Amino acid sequence: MTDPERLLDSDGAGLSAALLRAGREEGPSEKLLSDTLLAVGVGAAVAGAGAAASALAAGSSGAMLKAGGTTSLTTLAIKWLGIGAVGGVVTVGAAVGVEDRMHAAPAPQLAVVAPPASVEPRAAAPKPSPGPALAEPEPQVAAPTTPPPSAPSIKPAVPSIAEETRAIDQARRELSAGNASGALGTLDTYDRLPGPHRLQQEALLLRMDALVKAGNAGAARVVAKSLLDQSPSGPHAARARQVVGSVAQKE
Amino acid sequence: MHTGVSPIERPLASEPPLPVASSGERARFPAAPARLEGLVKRELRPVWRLLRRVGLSEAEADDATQQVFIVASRRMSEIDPARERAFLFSTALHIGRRAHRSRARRREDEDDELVSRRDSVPGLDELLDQKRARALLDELLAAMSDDLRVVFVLYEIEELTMAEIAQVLELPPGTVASRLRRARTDFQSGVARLEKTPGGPR
Repeated sequence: MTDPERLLDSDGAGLSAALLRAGREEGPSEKLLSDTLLAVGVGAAVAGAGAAASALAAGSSGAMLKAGGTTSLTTLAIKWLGIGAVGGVVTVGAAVGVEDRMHAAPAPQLAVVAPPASVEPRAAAPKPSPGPALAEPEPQVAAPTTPPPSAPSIKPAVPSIAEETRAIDQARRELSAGNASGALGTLDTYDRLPGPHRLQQEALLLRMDALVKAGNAGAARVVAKSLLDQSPSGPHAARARQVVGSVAQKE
Repeated sequence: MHTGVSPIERPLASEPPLPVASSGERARFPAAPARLEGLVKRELRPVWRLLRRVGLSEAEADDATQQVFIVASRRMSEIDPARERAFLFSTALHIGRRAHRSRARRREDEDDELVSRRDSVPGLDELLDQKRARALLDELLAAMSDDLRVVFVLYEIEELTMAEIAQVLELPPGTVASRLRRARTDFQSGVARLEKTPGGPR
Protein backbone atom coordinates (compact mmCIF):
# COMPACT_ATOMS: atom_id res chain seq x y z
CA MET A 1 0.00 0.00 0.00
CA THR A 2 1.58 3.26 -1.13
CA ASP A 3 0.59 6.22 0.97
CA PRO A 4 -0.37 9.34 -0.94
CA GLU A 5 1.35 12.61 -0.21
CA ARG A 6 -0.27 14.35 2.72
CA LEU A 7 -2.26 17.47 1.98
CA LEU A 8 -0.12 19.50 4.31
CA ASP A 9 2.96 18.56 2.31
CA SER A 10 1.41 19.00 -1.09
CA ASP A 11 -0.36 22.28 -0.40
CA GLY A 12 1.91 23.93 2.10
CA ALA A 13 0.76 27.50 1.51
CA GLY A 14 -2.92 26.96 0.83
CA LEU A 15 -5.97 27.11 3.02
CA SER A 16 -6.10 23.33 3.38
CA ALA A 17 -2.63 23.29 4.81
CA ALA A 18 -3.34 26.26 7.08
CA LEU A 19 -6.30 24.49 8.60
CA LEU A 20 -4.53 21.17 8.97
CA ARG A 21 -1.48 22.86 10.45
CA ALA A 22 -3.67 24.54 13.02
CA GLY A 23 -5.09 21.18 13.99
CA ARG A 24 -1.69 19.56 14.13
CA GLU A 25 -0.21 22.27 16.31
CA GLU A 26 -2.85 22.19 18.97
CA GLY A 27 -1.80 20.57 22.21
CA PRO A 28 -2.95 20.05 25.76
CA SER A 29 -1.80 22.02 28.76
CA GLU A 30 1.42 21.09 30.51
CA LYS A 31 -0.63 20.26 33.55
CA LEU A 32 -2.42 17.44 31.77
CA LEU A 33 0.82 15.54 31.41
CA SER A 34 1.66 15.73 35.09
CA ASP A 35 -1.92 14.96 36.09
CA THR A 36 -2.03 11.95 33.79
CA LEU A 37 1.28 10.62 35.04
CA LEU A 38 -0.06 10.87 38.55
CA ALA A 39 -3.35 9.30 37.54
CA VAL A 40 -1.65 6.21 36.20
CA GLY A 41 0.57 5.94 39.24
CA VAL A 42 3.94 6.92 37.83
CA GLY A 43 3.77 10.62 38.56
CA ALA A 44 5.14 10.38 42.07
CA ALA A 45 8.31 8.79 40.80
CA VAL A 46 8.61 11.53 38.24
CA ALA A 47 8.19 14.18 40.89
CA GLY A 48 10.70 12.51 43.15
CA ALA A 49 13.27 12.33 40.42
CA GLY A 50 12.76 15.94 39.65
CA ALA A 51 11.69 15.28 36.12
CA ALA A 52 8.84 17.24 34.60
CA ALA A 53 9.36 19.59 37.48
CA SER A 54 7.86 22.59 35.86
CA ALA A 55 4.66 20.83 34.96
CA LEU A 56 4.28 19.45 38.42
CA ALA A 57 5.07 22.76 40.01
CA ALA A 58 2.40 24.40 37.92
CA GLY A 59 -0.18 21.76 38.64
CA SER A 60 0.19 19.70 41.71
CA SER A 61 1.96 21.89 44.18
CA GLY A 62 -0.75 24.50 44.04
CA ALA A 63 -3.33 21.98 45.06
CA MET A 64 -1.06 20.69 47.79
CA LEU A 65 -0.64 24.14 49.19
CA LYS A 66 -4.36 24.63 49.22
CA ALA A 67 -4.70 21.40 51.11
CA GLY A 68 -2.32 22.53 53.77
CA GLY A 69 0.80 21.00 52.39
CA THR A 70 1.03 18.36 55.08
CA THR A 71 0.97 15.46 52.72
CA SER A 72 1.10 15.04 49.03
CA LEU A 73 -2.61 15.35 48.77
CA THR A 74 -2.74 15.63 45.05
CA THR A 75 -0.45 12.70 44.70
CA LEU A 76 -2.62 10.67 47.00
CA ALA A 77 -5.83 11.74 45.38
CA ILE A 78 -4.79 11.37 41.81
CA LYS A 79 -2.80 8.27 42.46
CA TRP A 80 -5.93 6.78 43.87
CA LEU A 81 -7.44 7.32 40.50
CA GLY A 82 -4.68 5.27 38.94
CA ILE A 83 -6.54 2.09 39.36
CA GLY A 84 -3.87 -0.37 38.54
CA ALA A 85 -1.21 1.36 40.57
CA VAL A 86 -2.85 0.75 43.91
CA GLY A 87 -3.82 -2.79 43.30
CA GLY A 88 -6.91 -2.35 41.28
CA VAL A 89 -9.26 -1.82 44.16
CA VAL A 90 -11.03 1.21 42.82
CA THR A 91 -12.90 1.51 39.62
CA VAL A 92 -12.99 4.60 37.51
CA GLY A 93 -16.43 4.22 36.16
CA ALA A 94 -16.01 5.98 32.91
CA ALA A 95 -13.09 3.93 31.82
CA VAL A 96 -14.65 0.75 33.02
CA GLY A 97 -17.88 1.65 31.36
CA VAL A 98 -16.17 2.00 28.06
CA GLU A 99 -14.36 -1.22 28.49
CA ASP A 100 -17.46 -2.96 29.70
CA ARG A 101 -19.35 -1.81 26.69
CA MET A 102 -16.63 -3.09 24.47
CA HIS A 103 -16.61 -6.42 26.17
CA ALA A 104 -20.34 -6.68 26.73
CA ALA A 105 -20.03 -7.10 30.44
CA PRO A 106 -22.00 -5.22 33.07
CA ALA A 107 -20.31 -2.49 35.06
CA PRO A 108 -19.74 -3.41 38.66
CA GLN A 109 -22.51 -2.07 40.83
CA LEU A 110 -21.56 -2.01 44.43
CA ALA A 111 -24.45 -1.41 46.72
CA VAL A 112 -24.11 0.58 49.88
CA VAL A 113 -24.80 -1.87 52.61
CA ALA A 114 -26.07 -0.95 55.99
CA PRO A 115 -23.58 -2.40 58.44
CA PRO A 116 -24.93 -5.19 60.55
CA ALA A 117 -23.80 -5.43 64.14
CA SER A 118 -21.33 -8.13 63.41
CA VAL A 119 -20.80 -10.20 60.34
CA GLU A 120 -17.33 -11.45 60.89
CA PRO A 121 -16.32 -13.71 59.37
CA ARG A 122 -18.54 -12.94 56.49
CA ALA A 123 -19.61 -14.86 53.48
CA ALA A 124 -18.30 -13.60 50.20
CA ALA A 125 -20.64 -10.90 49.01
CA PRO A 126 -22.29 -11.49 45.69
CA LYS A 127 -20.17 -9.78 43.14
CA PRO A 128 -20.99 -9.13 39.53
CA SER A 129 -18.71 -10.72 37.02
CA PRO A 130 -16.17 -8.27 35.73
CA GLY A 131 -15.55 -7.98 32.03
CA PRO A 132 -13.55 -10.88 30.76
CA ALA A 133 -10.57 -8.80 29.73
CA LEU A 134 -10.83 -6.40 32.59
CA ALA A 135 -10.90 -8.45 35.66
CA GLU A 136 -8.83 -6.79 38.31
CA PRO A 137 -7.01 -9.39 40.31
CA GLU A 138 -8.85 -9.55 43.56
CA PRO A 139 -8.57 -12.15 46.21
CA GLN A 140 -11.25 -14.75 45.89
CA VAL A 141 -12.56 -15.57 49.32
CA ALA A 142 -14.81 -18.49 49.67
CA ALA A 143 -17.70 -18.46 52.07
CA PRO A 144 -16.44 -19.44 55.49
CA THR A 145 -16.76 -23.03 56.37
CA THR A 146 -15.97 -24.73 59.58
CA PRO A 147 -12.24 -25.21 59.56
CA PRO A 148 -10.83 -28.64 60.20
CA PRO A 149 -9.67 -29.05 63.77
CA SER A 150 -6.05 -29.10 62.74
CA ALA A 151 -6.27 -25.97 60.62
CA PRO A 152 -4.39 -23.02 62.08
CA SER A 153 -6.41 -19.99 63.01
CA ILE A 154 -5.79 -17.50 60.26
CA LYS A 155 -7.42 -14.11 60.19
CA PRO A 156 -9.41 -13.72 57.01
CA ALA A 157 -7.63 -11.64 54.42
CA VAL A 158 -10.81 -9.82 53.56
CA PRO A 159 -11.86 -7.23 56.10
CA SER A 160 -15.26 -7.44 57.66
CA ILE A 161 -17.89 -4.90 56.85
CA ALA A 162 -17.41 -3.60 60.37
CA GLU A 163 -13.82 -2.78 59.49
CA GLU A 164 -14.93 -1.10 56.30
CA THR A 165 -17.50 0.87 58.25
CA ARG A 166 -14.90 2.01 60.76
CA ALA A 167 -12.68 3.33 57.98
CA ILE A 168 -15.53 5.16 56.32
CA ASP A 169 -16.69 6.62 59.63
CA GLN A 170 -13.19 7.81 60.40
CA ALA A 171 -12.92 9.51 57.02
CA ARG A 172 -16.31 11.13 57.58
CA ARG A 173 -15.27 12.43 60.98
CA GLU A 174 -12.04 13.83 59.59
CA LEU A 175 -13.87 15.53 56.78
CA SER A 176 -16.44 16.98 59.17
CA ALA A 177 -13.59 18.35 61.25
CA GLY A 178 -12.19 20.07 58.19
CA ASN A 179 -9.29 17.68 57.80
CA ALA A 180 -9.65 16.92 54.10
CA SER A 181 -6.10 15.67 53.81
CA GLY A 182 -6.61 13.24 56.67
CA ALA A 183 -9.87 12.03 55.16
CA LEU A 184 -8.19 11.39 51.84
CA GLY A 185 -5.44 9.45 53.57
CA THR A 186 -7.99 7.33 55.39
CA LEU A 187 -9.84 6.71 52.14
CA ASP A 188 -6.57 5.66 50.51
CA THR A 189 -6.16 3.17 53.31
CA TYR A 190 -9.69 1.97 52.74
CA ASP A 191 -9.03 1.53 49.05
CA ARG A 192 -6.00 -0.57 49.78
CA LEU A 193 -8.02 -3.00 51.84
CA PRO A 194 -8.52 -6.26 50.02
CA GLY A 195 -12.00 -7.38 49.17
CA PRO A 196 -15.05 -6.18 47.37
CA HIS A 197 -15.37 -2.77 49.07
CA ARG A 198 -19.05 -2.90 49.90
CA LEU A 199 -19.01 0.73 50.94
CA GLN A 200 -17.26 1.91 47.84
CA GLN A 201 -19.91 4.42 46.86
CA GLU A 202 -19.77 5.96 50.32
CA ALA A 203 -16.02 6.15 49.90
CA LEU A 204 -16.39 7.82 46.52
CA LEU A 205 -18.81 10.36 47.93
CA LEU A 206 -16.46 11.20 50.78
CA ARG A 207 -13.48 11.40 48.47
CA MET A 208 -15.35 13.73 46.15
CA ASP A 209 -16.28 16.03 49.03
CA ALA A 210 -12.78 15.89 50.48
CA LEU A 211 -11.29 16.87 47.14
CA VAL A 212 -13.73 19.75 46.84
CA LYS A 213 -12.77 20.89 50.32
CA ALA A 214 -9.09 20.55 49.45
CA GLY A 215 -9.59 22.79 46.45
CA ASN A 216 -8.85 20.09 43.90
CA ALA A 217 -11.91 20.64 41.75
CA GLY A 218 -10.62 18.76 38.73
CA ALA A 219 -10.03 15.55 40.63
CA ALA A 220 -13.36 15.99 42.43
CA ARG A 221 -15.08 16.17 39.08
CA VAL A 222 -13.45 12.98 37.87
CA VAL A 223 -14.57 11.20 41.03
CA ALA A 224 -18.08 12.63 40.66
CA LYS A 225 -18.28 11.36 37.11
CA SER A 226 -17.08 7.99 38.25
CA LEU A 227 -19.80 7.92 40.88
CA LEU A 228 -22.41 8.86 38.31
CA ASP A 229 -21.18 6.28 35.86
CA GLN A 230 -21.36 3.57 38.48
CA SER A 231 -24.74 4.54 39.78
CA PRO A 232 -26.50 7.27 37.80
CA SER A 233 -29.66 7.03 39.87
CA GLY A 234 -28.08 6.12 43.17
CA PRO A 235 -28.48 7.96 46.44
CA HIS A 236 -25.38 10.09 45.81
CA ALA A 237 -26.10 10.95 42.19
CA ALA A 238 -27.64 14.33 42.97
CA ARG A 239 -24.62 15.41 44.98
CA ALA A 240 -22.27 14.16 42.27
CA ARG A 241 -24.16 16.10 39.62
CA GLN A 242 -23.96 19.15 41.80
CA VAL A 243 -20.19 18.82 41.97
CA VAL A 244 -19.85 18.22 38.24
CA GLY A 245 -22.02 21.27 37.57
CA SER A 246 -20.26 23.58 39.99
CA VAL A 247 -16.83 22.61 38.70
CA ALA A 248 -17.96 23.16 35.14
CA GLN A 249 -19.24 26.62 36.06
CA LYS A 250 -15.95 27.56 37.68
CA GLU A 251 -14.10 26.43 34.59
CA MET B 1 -22.12 23.50 6.67
CA HIS B 2 -22.40 22.68 10.29
CA THR B 3 -24.88 19.87 10.57
CA GLY B 4 -25.92 20.53 14.13
CA VAL B 5 -25.27 16.97 15.15
CA SER B 6 -21.68 15.91 15.40
CA PRO B 7 -20.94 12.91 13.23
CA ILE B 8 -19.27 11.24 16.15
CA GLU B 9 -22.67 10.87 17.75
CA ARG B 10 -23.67 8.64 14.92
CA PRO B 11 -22.80 5.06 15.73
CA LEU B 12 -20.16 3.34 13.71
CA ALA B 13 -21.27 0.43 11.67
CA SER B 14 -18.90 -1.69 13.66
CA GLU B 15 -16.93 -1.05 16.82
CA PRO B 16 -13.42 -2.34 16.31
CA PRO B 17 -12.02 -4.47 19.08
CA LEU B 18 -9.06 -3.15 20.98
CA PRO B 19 -5.74 -4.37 19.67
CA VAL B 20 -4.58 -6.36 22.64
CA ALA B 21 -3.39 -9.85 23.17
CA SER B 22 -6.15 -12.40 22.95
CA SER B 23 -7.61 -13.77 26.13
CA GLY B 24 -5.34 -16.75 26.04
CA GLU B 25 -2.27 -14.58 25.71
CA ARG B 26 -2.81 -12.15 28.54
CA ALA B 27 -0.02 -10.80 30.66
CA ARG B 28 2.70 -11.56 28.21
CA PHE B 29 4.11 -8.08 27.74
CA PRO B 30 6.09 -6.01 30.22
CA ALA B 31 4.05 -3.68 32.39
CA ALA B 32 6.95 -1.81 33.94
CA PRO B 33 6.22 1.72 35.21
CA ALA B 34 8.96 3.06 32.96
CA ARG B 35 7.15 1.72 29.92
CA LEU B 36 3.91 3.30 31.04
CA GLU B 37 5.59 6.59 31.80
CA GLY B 38 7.22 6.64 28.39
CA LEU B 39 3.92 5.87 26.76
CA VAL B 40 2.18 8.76 28.50
CA LYS B 41 4.93 11.23 27.68
CA ARG B 42 5.14 10.13 24.07
CA GLU B 43 1.50 9.70 23.18
CA LEU B 44 -0.44 12.07 25.41
CA ARG B 45 -0.39 14.90 22.94
CA PRO B 46 -1.50 12.86 19.89
CA VAL B 47 -4.24 11.18 21.90
CA TRP B 48 -5.53 14.50 23.19
CA ARG B 49 -5.37 16.01 19.72
CA LEU B 50 -7.29 13.12 18.23
CA LEU B 51 -10.01 13.55 20.84
CA ARG B 52 -10.21 17.24 20.04
CA ARG B 53 -10.50 16.59 16.32
CA VAL B 54 -13.30 14.11 16.78
CA GLY B 55 -15.29 16.82 18.47
CA LEU B 56 -14.54 16.97 22.19
CA SER B 57 -14.06 20.27 23.97
CA GLU B 58 -10.73 20.92 25.64
CA ALA B 59 -12.06 19.99 29.07
CA GLU B 60 -13.69 16.84 27.70
CA ALA B 61 -10.50 15.92 25.88
CA ASP B 62 -8.53 16.37 29.12
CA ASP B 63 -10.81 13.97 30.97
CA ALA B 64 -10.99 11.51 28.11
CA THR B 65 -7.22 11.51 27.69
CA GLN B 66 -6.75 10.58 31.32
CA GLN B 67 -9.30 7.82 30.92
CA VAL B 68 -7.44 6.46 27.90
CA PHE B 69 -4.21 6.19 29.85
CA ILE B 70 -5.92 4.76 32.91
CA VAL B 71 -7.31 2.02 30.69
CA ALA B 72 -3.85 1.52 29.23
CA SER B 73 -2.28 1.37 32.68
CA ARG B 74 -4.58 -1.46 33.63
CA ARG B 75 -3.87 -3.39 30.48
CA MET B 76 -0.19 -2.78 29.88
CA SER B 77 0.63 -6.43 30.11
CA GLU B 78 -1.82 -7.14 27.31
CA ILE B 79 -0.63 -4.41 24.96
CA ASP B 80 1.88 -5.41 22.37
CA PRO B 81 4.64 -2.79 22.44
CA ALA B 82 4.48 -2.68 18.66
CA ARG B 83 0.80 -1.78 18.81
CA GLU B 84 0.70 0.71 21.63
CA ARG B 85 -0.42 3.59 19.49
CA ALA B 86 -3.08 1.45 17.87
CA PHE B 87 -4.38 0.54 21.31
CA LEU B 88 -4.40 4.14 22.51
CA PHE B 89 -6.07 5.58 19.44
CA SER B 90 -8.65 2.84 19.35
CA THR B 91 -9.41 3.37 23.03
CA ALA B 92 -9.55 7.12 22.51
CA LEU B 93 -12.11 6.74 19.75
CA HIS B 94 -14.30 4.59 21.97
CA ILE B 95 -14.05 7.01 24.86
CA GLY B 96 -14.65 9.95 22.57
CA ARG B 97 -17.90 8.45 21.39
CA ARG B 98 -18.92 7.78 24.95
CA ALA B 99 -18.16 11.35 25.92
CA HIS B 100 -20.39 12.58 23.15
CA ARG B 101 -23.23 10.40 24.28
CA SER B 102 -22.82 11.60 27.86
CA ARG B 103 -22.89 15.17 26.67
CA ALA B 104 -26.06 14.53 24.72
CA ARG B 105 -27.69 12.91 27.71
CA ARG B 106 -26.84 15.80 29.94
CA ARG B 107 -28.09 18.22 27.31
CA GLU B 108 -25.22 20.47 28.05
CA ASP B 109 -24.72 23.52 26.00
CA GLU B 110 -22.21 23.12 23.28
CA ASP B 111 -18.78 24.24 24.28
CA ASP B 112 -18.47 27.97 23.95
CA GLU B 113 -15.18 27.68 22.23
CA LEU B 114 -16.55 25.54 19.47
CA VAL B 115 -19.69 27.52 18.87
CA SER B 116 -17.67 30.42 17.67
CA ARG B 117 -18.96 29.67 14.21
CA ARG B 118 -18.45 32.45 11.82
CA ASP B 119 -21.12 34.86 10.73
CA SER B 120 -19.01 35.67 7.75
CA VAL B 121 -16.07 33.89 6.27
CA PRO B 122 -12.84 35.15 7.82
CA GLY B 123 -10.05 36.67 5.83
CA LEU B 124 -6.50 35.42 5.76
CA ASP B 125 -5.53 37.68 8.59
CA GLU B 126 -8.06 36.02 10.81
CA LEU B 127 -6.83 32.64 9.78
CA LEU B 128 -3.56 33.50 11.43
CA ASP B 129 -5.51 33.09 14.57
CA GLN B 130 -4.98 29.42 15.19
CA LYS B 131 -8.07 29.09 17.27
CA ARG B 132 -10.19 30.41 14.48
CA ALA B 133 -8.49 28.11 12.03
CA ARG B 134 -9.17 25.15 14.26
CA ALA B 135 -12.82 26.12 14.48
CA LEU B 136 -12.99 26.09 10.69
CA LEU B 137 -11.16 22.79 10.56
CA ASP B 138 -13.55 21.29 13.05
CA GLU B 139 -16.45 22.58 11.03
CA LEU B 140 -15.19 20.86 7.91
CA LEU B 141 -14.52 17.68 9.85
CA ALA B 142 -17.97 17.78 11.43
CA ALA B 143 -19.52 17.69 7.98
CA MET B 144 -17.87 14.35 7.23
CA SER B 145 -19.26 11.02 8.23
CA ASP B 146 -17.57 9.55 11.27
CA ASP B 147 -15.98 6.77 9.27
CA LEU B 148 -14.34 9.19 6.88
CA ARG B 149 -13.39 11.74 9.48
CA VAL B 150 -11.50 9.32 11.67
CA VAL B 151 -9.43 8.07 8.76
CA PHE B 152 -8.79 11.62 7.58
CA VAL B 153 -7.67 12.85 11.00
CA LEU B 154 -5.43 9.87 11.60
CA TYR B 155 -3.75 10.28 8.21
CA GLU B 156 -3.61 14.02 7.61
CA ILE B 157 -3.18 15.32 11.15
CA GLU B 158 -1.75 12.47 13.18
CA GLU B 159 0.36 11.29 10.25
CA LEU B 160 -0.26 7.62 10.69
CA THR B 161 0.43 5.48 7.69
CA MET B 162 -2.47 3.79 6.02
CA ALA B 163 -1.20 0.47 7.31
CA GLU B 164 -1.25 1.84 10.85
CA ILE B 165 -4.76 3.16 10.38
CA ALA B 166 -5.87 -0.23 9.16
CA GLN B 167 -4.45 -1.64 12.39
CA VAL B 168 -6.15 0.93 14.61
CA LEU B 169 -9.53 0.54 12.98
CA GLU B 170 -9.22 -3.16 12.20
CA LEU B 171 -10.09 -2.49 8.60
CA PRO B 172 -8.74 -3.91 5.35
CA PRO B 173 -6.14 -1.62 3.78
CA GLY B 174 -8.32 -1.13 0.72
CA THR B 175 -11.15 0.20 2.86
CA VAL B 176 -8.80 2.66 4.52
CA ALA B 177 -7.56 3.88 1.15
CA SER B 178 -11.10 4.25 -0.14
CA ARG B 179 -12.24 6.18 2.93
CA LEU B 180 -9.23 8.45 2.77
CA ARG B 181 -9.93 9.27 -0.87
CA ARG B 182 -13.54 10.12 -0.10
CA ALA B 183 -12.60 12.11 2.98
CA ARG B 184 -10.08 14.15 1.05
CA THR B 185 -12.65 14.89 -1.60
CA ASP B 186 -15.10 16.07 1.07
CA PHE B 187 -12.46 18.15 2.81
CA GLN B 188 -11.18 19.81 -0.33
CA SER B 189 -14.72 20.54 -1.49
CA GLY B 190 -15.33 22.25 1.82
CA VAL B 191 -12.14 24.24 1.51
CA ALA B 192 -13.06 25.25 -2.02
CA ARG B 193 -16.43 26.51 -0.79
CA LEU B 194 -14.68 28.58 1.85
CA GLU B 195 -12.31 30.03 -0.70
CA LYS B 196 -15.14 30.96 -3.06
CA THR B 197 -17.21 32.64 -0.40
CA PRO B 198 -17.13 36.43 -0.76
CA GLY B 199 -14.78 37.87 1.80
CA GLY B 200 -13.25 34.50 2.35
CA PRO B 201 -9.64 33.51 1.99
CA ARG B 202 -8.27 33.45 -1.49
